[in-house]
Amino acid sequence: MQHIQDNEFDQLFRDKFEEAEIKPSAHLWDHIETQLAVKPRRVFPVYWMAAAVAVAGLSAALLFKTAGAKRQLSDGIAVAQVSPSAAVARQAKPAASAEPVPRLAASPKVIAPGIQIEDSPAVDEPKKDLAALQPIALNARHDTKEIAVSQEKLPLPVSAEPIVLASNDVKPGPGDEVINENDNRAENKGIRNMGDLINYVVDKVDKSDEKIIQFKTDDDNSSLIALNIGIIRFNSKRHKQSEKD
Amino acid sequence: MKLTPSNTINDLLEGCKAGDRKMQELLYRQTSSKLLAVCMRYARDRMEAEDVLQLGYIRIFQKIKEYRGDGSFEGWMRKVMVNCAIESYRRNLRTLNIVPIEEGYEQPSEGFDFSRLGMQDLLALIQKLADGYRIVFNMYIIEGYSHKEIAATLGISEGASKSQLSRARAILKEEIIKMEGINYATHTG
Repeated sequence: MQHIQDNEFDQLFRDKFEEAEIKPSAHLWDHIETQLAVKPRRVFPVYWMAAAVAVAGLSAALLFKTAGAKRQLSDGIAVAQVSPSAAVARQAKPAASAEPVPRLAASPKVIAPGIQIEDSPAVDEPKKDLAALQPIALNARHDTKEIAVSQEKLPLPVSAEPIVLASNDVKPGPGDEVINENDNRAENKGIRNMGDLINYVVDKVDKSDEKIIQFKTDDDNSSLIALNIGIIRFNSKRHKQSEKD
Repeated sequence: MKLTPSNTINDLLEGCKAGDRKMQELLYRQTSSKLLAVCMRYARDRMEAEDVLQLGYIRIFQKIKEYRGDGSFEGWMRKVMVNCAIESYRRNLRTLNIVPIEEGYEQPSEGFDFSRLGMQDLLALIQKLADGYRIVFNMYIIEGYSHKEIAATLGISEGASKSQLSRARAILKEEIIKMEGINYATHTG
């Protein structure tokens, strides 16, 4: 055996197996028949799903990117928007409480720069005054005697006061609108971010009530609220509505 | 693989292409013994071989429309079966335990020399080979693939295919000598 040539050796195996037959187990055909009876799975949904996942992933990536950029912008804007309104709240209090002396003495240093930026007409805002009433009472208690000492400085802040009230009146408007944008109104706001763009395109293509994909959009961010692809289907808006019902 | 006159290979082919279950069963009855012998060479045991046979027939029935008549139908079926066996080997590659051939052979053949070794003896030896050796040996020696084709199919280098083949040969020779020795001892002692 050690000296047998490879060719010879190979040929011996070939000869032995050429006509080899081994009878399979009796039940084997039944298994095959059962499997043949099962209809092959549809291939289409698999590709469809893969495509949907790819699209969803891509749009998510784009949204994160745009959201990041928006956030940077909005951070800057937020400072401008918030500081005046806070200042207004504080400034508005004295007007309502009719005790300008203690308030002004406590806050003028902080408020003055924020106020001067906003040049707007002076209008009284009763709603804001109501909100401001409670903190003032507290402040009034704490301030007490020190306030009396600083009364002489009154004239300077007084001139700034009406300007502050005016900015209060103007600024709250857009602030309230932002909150309302969570509703369908966003669709009418034009295209400001990726979510708007996708909503717009989908709206043109898909006329049905249940859109393939729908985003909630606002100035700061966009988030997916409805998805309707084959078996994947969710609609946060609908859930909310049904809860209300 | 003998066909009765009333069911020629063409009848079976046309029937199977049309999805006729009776014809499919007839084809299975007439060819499965031979194809199981092919699967047995690639598998480690009968159970694994029958699994491959099952998959192979389903594949044959699914793809039978693609058979254009170039080359024998039996050759085509055998090729489908071998491909299934290789796929199964590759699928199980990570989970298989390679048993060293040195662990001993417990089933001595009744024959004394090589010419007296039966197909079952040789099959048992082949099945004892490590998976890689067994697949390359079968593909090259019995099926007649080239080292280039084997390398491409298994995703190994041609050199690896050659070295696995010569190692498989060496192991098989060794094992046959061992069997002869045992038989010689049994006969003389």
